[in-house]
Amino acid sequence: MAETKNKSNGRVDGLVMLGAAIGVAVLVNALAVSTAVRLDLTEQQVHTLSEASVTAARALDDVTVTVFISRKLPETIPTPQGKVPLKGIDRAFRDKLAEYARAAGGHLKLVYAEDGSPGVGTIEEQGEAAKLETFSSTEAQVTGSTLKFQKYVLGATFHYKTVSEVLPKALSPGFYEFEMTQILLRLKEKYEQSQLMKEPLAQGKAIFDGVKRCNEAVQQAAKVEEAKEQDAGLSLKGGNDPNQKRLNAMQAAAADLDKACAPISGLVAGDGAKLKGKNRFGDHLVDNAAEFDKAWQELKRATSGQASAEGQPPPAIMVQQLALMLDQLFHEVDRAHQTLTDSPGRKAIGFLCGHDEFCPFAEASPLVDPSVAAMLGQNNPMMKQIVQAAAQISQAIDETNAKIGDNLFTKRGYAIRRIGPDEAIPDDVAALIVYAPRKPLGEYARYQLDQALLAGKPVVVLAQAWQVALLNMQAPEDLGNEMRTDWSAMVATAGNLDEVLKAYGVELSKDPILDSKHVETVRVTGLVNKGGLQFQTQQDFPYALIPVASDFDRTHALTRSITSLSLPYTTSVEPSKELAANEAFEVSRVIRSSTSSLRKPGPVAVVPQTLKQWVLDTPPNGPHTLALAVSGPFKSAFAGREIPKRPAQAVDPKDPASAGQKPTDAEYELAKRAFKAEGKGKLLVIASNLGIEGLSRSDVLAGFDLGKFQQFSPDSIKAFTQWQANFQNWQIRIGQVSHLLNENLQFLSNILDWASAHEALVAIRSKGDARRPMDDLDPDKQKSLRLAALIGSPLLLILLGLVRWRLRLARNRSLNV
Amino acid sequence: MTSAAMIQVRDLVKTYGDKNALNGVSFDARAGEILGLLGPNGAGKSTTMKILTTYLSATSGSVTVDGMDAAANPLAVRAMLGYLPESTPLYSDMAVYDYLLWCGEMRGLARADVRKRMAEVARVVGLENVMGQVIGTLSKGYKQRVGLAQAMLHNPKILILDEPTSGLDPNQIIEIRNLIRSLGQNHTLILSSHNLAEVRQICDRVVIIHQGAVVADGTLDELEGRVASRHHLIVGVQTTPQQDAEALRTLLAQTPGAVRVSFSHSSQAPVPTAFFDVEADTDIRTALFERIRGADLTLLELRRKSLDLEGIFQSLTQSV
Amino acid sequence: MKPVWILARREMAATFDSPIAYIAGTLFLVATGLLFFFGLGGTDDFFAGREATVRPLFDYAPWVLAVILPAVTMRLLAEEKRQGTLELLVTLPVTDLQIVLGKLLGAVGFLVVALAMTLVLPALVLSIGHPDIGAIVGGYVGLLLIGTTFLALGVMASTWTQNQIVAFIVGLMLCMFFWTATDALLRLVFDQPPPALALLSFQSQFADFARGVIDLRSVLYFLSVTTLAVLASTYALRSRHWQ
Repeated sequence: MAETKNKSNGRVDGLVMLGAAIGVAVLVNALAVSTAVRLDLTEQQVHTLSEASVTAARALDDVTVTVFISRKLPETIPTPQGKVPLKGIDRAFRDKLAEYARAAGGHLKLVYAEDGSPGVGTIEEQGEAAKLETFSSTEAQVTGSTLKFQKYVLGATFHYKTVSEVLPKALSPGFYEFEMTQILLRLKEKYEQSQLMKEPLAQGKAIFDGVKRCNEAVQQAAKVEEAKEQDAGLSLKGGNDPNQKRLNAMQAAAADLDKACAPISGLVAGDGAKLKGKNRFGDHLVDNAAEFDKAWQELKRATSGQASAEGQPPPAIMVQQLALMLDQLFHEVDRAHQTLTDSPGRKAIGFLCGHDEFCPFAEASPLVDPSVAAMLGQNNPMMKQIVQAAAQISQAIDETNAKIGDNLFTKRGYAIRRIGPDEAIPDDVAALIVYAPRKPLGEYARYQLDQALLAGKPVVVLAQAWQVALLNMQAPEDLGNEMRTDWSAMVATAGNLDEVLKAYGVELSKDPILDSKHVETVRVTGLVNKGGLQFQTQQDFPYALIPVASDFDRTHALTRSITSLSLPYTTSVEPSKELAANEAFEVSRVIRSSTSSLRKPGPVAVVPQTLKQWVLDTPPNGPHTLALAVSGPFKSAFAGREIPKRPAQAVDPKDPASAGQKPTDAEYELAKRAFKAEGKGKLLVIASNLGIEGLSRSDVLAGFDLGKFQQFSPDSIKAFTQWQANFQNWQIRIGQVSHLLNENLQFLSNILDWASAHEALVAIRSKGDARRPMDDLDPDKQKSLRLAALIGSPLLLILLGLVRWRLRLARNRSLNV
Repeated sequence: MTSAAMIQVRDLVKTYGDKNALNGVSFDARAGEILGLLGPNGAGKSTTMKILTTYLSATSGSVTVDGMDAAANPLAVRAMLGYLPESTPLYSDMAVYDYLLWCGEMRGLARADVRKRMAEVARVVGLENVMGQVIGTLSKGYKQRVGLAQAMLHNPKILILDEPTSGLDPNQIIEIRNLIRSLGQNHTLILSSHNLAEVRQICDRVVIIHQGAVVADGTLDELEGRVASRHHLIVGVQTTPQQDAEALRTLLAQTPGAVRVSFSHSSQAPVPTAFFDVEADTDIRTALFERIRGADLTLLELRRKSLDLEGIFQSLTQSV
Repeated sequence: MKPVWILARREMAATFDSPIAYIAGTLFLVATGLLFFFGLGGTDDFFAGREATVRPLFDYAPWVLAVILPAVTMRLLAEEKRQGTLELLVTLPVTDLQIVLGKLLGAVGFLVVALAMTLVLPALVLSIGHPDIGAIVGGYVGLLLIGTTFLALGVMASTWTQNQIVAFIVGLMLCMFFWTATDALLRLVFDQPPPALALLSFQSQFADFARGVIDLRSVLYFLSVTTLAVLASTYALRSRHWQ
């Protein structure tokens, strides 16, 4: 009978159904894992990664991200502009990383560093070891009797196959996506390019490993000694002088040290020679390794006691100093190796030179050909001296420029290229920087800029309309007198950037921007006569010509993490009406001056006190735009015109290469054919030089002409004194503003990043900080608001209940009748 | 059996664990009939009703309501039923009005229809003056009325009432009985009870369940007839101190037709009397009277024992 | 669907007729309010963060819901069973599934009211800054979803017993287990839980909502758990037939 099964059937059917439902649920959820239907409700879609980011995240398989977040971050951290709140920042960071992990669909693994076992160290120590930047809070912590600023980390390292990248300090949530995607894109590029550069990288690594082995051996030997010092009482050998003991130990270990260090010479000569000339970073590494080797050879000599030449300290001290020096040199080698391994795939940035720009390179050729200089001396020993001195100045200029270039750019991993005024921009240069030229750009340079812009290469133009000198050296009128100083100079530069940029709808003004409130100080160096002795003094004055801008386009990657910028002697830059109205263009006022700023035709009185009073008495007309980013379909300034021919360079008879650079008709024909009349481009114009003024031979050694010096004249002496004054004046002008360079350099870094960034990154605009600020509330208001919220809602609930109860009661009564 | 059977119950078996609550219960209820389910507590009345109302499933056997298998079409069957479970469980914190309104809506009636029916039903069961009262505050009798009201609200073909009068005071019982009887005029009604008098008053037909089985099924007259085929008499005879009760019993037992005579008890006031239970297959009252008078004894009492439930059961279980 | 709605309406009315709604509601509001302003341990001052956000509400509210909601669901079926009203209920022309759904929906009604009461917090933040409205909406959608899931688990616990206290304790344990323990358990078993399993955790599923993102997967997950709990409750209700 069917009915007899009733009981068991119901139960079994129910269980089967339930099991099936679980199965279906698991299946549906499993199938859904790979879907990516996400609805981001936040106003600016802060949690939605852009197409570019998702693509970047998916393009890499197996990325491991090690995240370092201090257990408890401080409430605020100090910055020059005051405390910056950090609350919720770790959450924003985690959120964003999780977003990437989701987008990558399991190919991106997040590993959170934890306060580990004793051997591992704190999160902060682990972070530092992974090359993260630490920062400290506003509040010091008292431990015992010492004040300590707790260190914190918030960042991550990204590893992909053989390469890795670091996000050292993640304090601007609005730019997490920009930064992380940049890193992911970099990882891919770096890995791919490093596959093409395997050999140089291997050579670099071989050299680095060799140096490292040697340094470790040396430091080990030097340290063993220190350890032994502690039980010095037991040791009777070698006396009590630690240096002597070190020497003894080194001598004892000499064979081992030699074994570890001897290969370096071979490496430098072998791998080094092969590596050299491939790129700047390789050169840098080889040079540093050679330095190291030299120091090692010295140490070896000192250890073996051969070296005690006259005038040198005794070997024991020598060894100690050399060991220290070796360690320092090793760090240089380490850094150079880092930048080399970091270099694959880095795009080269071209610096236009030849118009008294900031051009961080040594000149291509010496001021005076040595053979020519030698000939000069035969006729006129006085002239020989002058020319040699000029050559020395020139060399100092070259060295300064090269050093700036190394420190600001190469060491930070940027690949920079010099672009001469008459040089076509090579294809491998991905971006062009025109850094504050003080002379007009020629037709050919303008044409190059034009075509680079239309080809989509980011073009960055920094302007310097004024040269301000509070202290200026002048060559004396009469020979034999002291150099004159005066207080007077605010001189217009001779650039023609305003004219150049007009073609692209950008109106660069030459009027200086002054500010009455938001200003930085200018540093005045002077000589004070006290009791017959001269002292050099430094004094800082708030200076209206150095406005501090804090109004930034927070959505723009350039100004990320910038809290304020001091822009010495800036002018303003505005889009033309047509450009502003043209919807095809994206125009961003990246930096603006404050409302207390003032635009006024220059020059103005430059003495700080006078200027200050004047500015206070004049009504402001700010804000003014100080930096402008424009992207869109630009039209060529050369459309419908004959394009300029490449000028013939002054042919250097000694340099056979320059002959090959002679312009040819065929080249011109090709250029004509390649001409673009229109193209999408990105242009960034900054109306200040950020306080970095170019140092150029043609500026300092103005009027240097070998021909003039064929005959001796008082003028040549005067000219020579003036050159010296020029060089000093440059130093003084830089000194006036050098104290405010720090943040400006960060901004410069951002500019270079922006200019060399992957195309995809341009699409990633900051969505702003996901954290929104709260109004300022006094504690009483806080208290009352809190109370209202805490008591209000339960009270409301209970009140509603009472009302409901009364209503029900009334209705029920009415029903009973 | 007949096509007029509104409810057919066939071979219901229900086991709870290894305890059998029902052992093959079968009966019919015809349309428009008031059927009484009779039996002592624990006999299986409630279980049967729970299966009838599809609250529970039978282990085996079937219930057919209006031609539909109840296990297969529980919703259709429920829609036809009004049910008052044992001890009238109600949402005690609801007002009568709200409760009835909700029941009506749950039955799929439109709000306006429910209100109309509520007014009618309230009048019928006498709830008009407590409609706004919270159920928990009502007396037992009113609660019972609310239970009845919810059961008949949707004017169902079939009403199933589980012990509708239990726990009520006598006045309430009479009211409810009258109410049920009037309901029976146009509903098929099954009620359970352990009170024969109640059943006698209300029901057309009675099914007696004992230990999970039907022991009798018929009209009250039929049943009484069956029970009446054996006669129980109570006889009271005046005694004197020297008389032996056993001698008297023997004397009575010699009455022609007496099957079994047993001494029940004696009493002293107002006169010493001995009472005996007498069973016989025929009516032997005349013979008994003659016999006692013949023995020169005084007959003080001679009456038929009343047909209470215990009696019927006793006799039914003995006769089966 | 209509009976479900009628049932739900009665349940909601019953909830708000009984003091439990006001006790649970007040506890919920006070607890979330305190956590919102002072954080866990009372050291995390909301105003000190100087951030116009309602995020702390979304961080803490699920914890409170996991405790409060089982108290709301505990009576739903346990009480019907104990009072015998279940017999009348299930002999109405409704299916067991409809009954469970109606009960759940009624409890969701309470959840909606309770959540609506917390709107004072966004209102407060709105008065002192410009919070991200979208993020707040997302958070509330999440709370509604996770709350419904908690309620479904509570209803399930309530179908298993006649004793309200037992129903509450079992419901609480279920909610807490899914909210906190899945993570911990997975971590016990795996060093790095496989992503598919890590998704079992309510917390990781809820994280998206808290920041204003609605992910289909999380929605599906919560709906799946709710559905399974509802089916299991229906099964438990049906089990009277074969007991």
